[in-house]
Amino acid sequence: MRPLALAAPGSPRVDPVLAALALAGAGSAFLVPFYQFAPNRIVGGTGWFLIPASLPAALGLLAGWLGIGAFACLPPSVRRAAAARWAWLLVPVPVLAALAGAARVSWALAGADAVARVTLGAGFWLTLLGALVAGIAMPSGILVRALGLLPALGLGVAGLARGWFDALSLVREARSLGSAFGTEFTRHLTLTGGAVMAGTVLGLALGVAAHRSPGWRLGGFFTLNSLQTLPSLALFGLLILPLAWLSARFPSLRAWGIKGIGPAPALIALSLYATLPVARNTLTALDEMPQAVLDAGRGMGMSEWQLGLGVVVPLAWPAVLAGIRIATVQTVGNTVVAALIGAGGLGTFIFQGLGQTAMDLVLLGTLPVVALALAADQVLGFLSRPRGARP
Amino acid sequence: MITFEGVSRRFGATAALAGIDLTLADHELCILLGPSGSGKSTLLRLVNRLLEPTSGRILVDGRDVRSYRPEALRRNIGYVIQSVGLFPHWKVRDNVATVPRLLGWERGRISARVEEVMDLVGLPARTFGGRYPHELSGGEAQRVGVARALASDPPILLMDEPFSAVDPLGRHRIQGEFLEIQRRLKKAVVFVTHDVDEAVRLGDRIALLKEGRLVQYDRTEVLLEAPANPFVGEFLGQDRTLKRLSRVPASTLARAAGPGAGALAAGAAAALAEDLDLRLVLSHFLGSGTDIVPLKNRQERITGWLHRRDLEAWARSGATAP
Repeated sequence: MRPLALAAPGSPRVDPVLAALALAGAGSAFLVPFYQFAPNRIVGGTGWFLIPASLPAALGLLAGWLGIGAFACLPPSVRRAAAARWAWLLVPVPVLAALAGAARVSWALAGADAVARVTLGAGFWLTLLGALVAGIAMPSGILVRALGLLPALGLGVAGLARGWFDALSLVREARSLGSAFGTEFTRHLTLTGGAVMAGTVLGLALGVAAHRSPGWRLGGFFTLNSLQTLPSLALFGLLILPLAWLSARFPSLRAWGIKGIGPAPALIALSLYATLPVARNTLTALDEMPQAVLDAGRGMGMSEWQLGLGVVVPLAWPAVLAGIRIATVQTVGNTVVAALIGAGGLGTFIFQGLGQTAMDLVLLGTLPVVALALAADQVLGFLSRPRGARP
Repeated sequence: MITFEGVSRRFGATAALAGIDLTLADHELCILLGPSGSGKSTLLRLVNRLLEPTSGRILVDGRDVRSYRPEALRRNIGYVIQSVGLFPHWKVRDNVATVPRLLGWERGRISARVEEVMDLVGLPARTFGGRYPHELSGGEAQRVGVARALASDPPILLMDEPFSAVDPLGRHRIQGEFLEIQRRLKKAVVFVTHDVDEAVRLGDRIALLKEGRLVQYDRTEVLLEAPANPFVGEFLGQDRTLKRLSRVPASTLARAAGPGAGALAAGAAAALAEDLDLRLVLSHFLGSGTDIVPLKNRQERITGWLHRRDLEAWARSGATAP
């Protein structure tokens, strides 16, 4: 009897994700507006497709996506080869093209009208999103990623410095904010960083305490879990009363900036939120510490310190770091809400923008938050790869 | 020499050990045998102070273990446990080097010793030193555990059911290898097991425990020939005679005289290895219906003859030494 005709292993099979992305990406040059022209801040604009906007940019975008499409059609064995990771350098090409197109459009408008502006359209954002997915789906390494991201970052920074993007609505909004953007960005980082640090210290302490005592395990985690179910805005609100009372009662506290509204209640609430993931991961790591390893270590004459620093900490570290990673990403987002109680941060622009129906102002708050969360996730994810457990 | 003097240990209301008096000789492998809950592991862990006795004292070479700092004491006593407990984030080489590093040996001496002790357990450091524990089979991990315990060349080795997590075939092999190592190194080994066959195969002496009390302590042969009470006899099993036979190599009962030179050529084909144990020789007699069998050495040369009546006489005699 003849065997069933199955495809031989290693026969050319197309990567469906990349192929679909490439197809959609290439099509977007013709089908979706990339930029919009608006006569002023509030009015919606008229769409510009990439082809009339800038032919070189359109060609670059097509080249990038078609290159990725061609890569998707290579035989799987070739795609898995070590050298294939250099194909990742194709990923930033559509982004570069979209940025270049934006610069071209902005330049065309510059000087013509101080109020008219170019808004980035669906095509532009879809290109960024598509590149993000393609960047995850394609094989790569640290070096390749750094090399690939450098030109796009360079173009962005140089363009901003030289005024190539001046007519973009985002840039116009940022310019009109002046130094406020830097201030709130720093404030956001400070709030997030402070809350994550406090949450890490609290979480580690609670995790260790809960591992050692059943009382802490029950009480501590019950409290934290209950807090987690409270919406962040409600928790901010709850903290306003006691803190206001405290600062009224002890004026010296006010000198430290502790008031019912502002950074103090925000920092407290954000720290409490950040505590749970760290505490939970610490507890799990300690609970699942292999007892035989500790017994063997003790039996061979390791002191408790040597056992702790040499064995317990390195074995628990990846899990704890994963907890810190969750806490960080979550806090970057939660800090946005803190703007509502006067704590500042990038949320300020989001809520202002919403109030003024100025979507560009909203984006100006949102984009850095997204970028911060992605960056924190990548960096902490890289640090928490387990040692020794790799094949 | 390890001496237990009136040692008791309680856990809450239950007595894990009650009044144990026991002396373990140097250079001997002593088995602590007993059903689960008999206190054998507890007794073992008292030696390196992973547990402290409720009353009584433990002496190592005449000195109370409580006069040592626990860490210092443990670094001079090898320790092997059932689940091995290799450090998962350290390579095999670093695992084996644990105690020498704790003792502050210099680098060159440590790496030389690691090579030596890994060769001893049959896992050359070239091949296995760079691996992580999760890349080892169960048997290999347990060998690394033994190598780690031997690394600082301690005079005493504590082994808590070290081979019971290895599969039966691998266990038999690793037991044989460990016997070879012990014959060379002559450590004072305290070996906890609940497996009677393992105890009989490895033990120079067996201390049989039941519910925290020492029931009988003697040379393994004596225990098998003369159980002190019905519990001992029952625990060791109805096949005690066979177990005794399993400890003795065929060569011990060999006679130079055979059935005549003429039969020699015919006999050579059926010859058994002289280091085969008497239990397997008996099995051969039962299966083949013969009464005499030639023995050969590793070079396939006939070295003597074993008569069935000698074997049966030895089994009946109860003589500890033939």
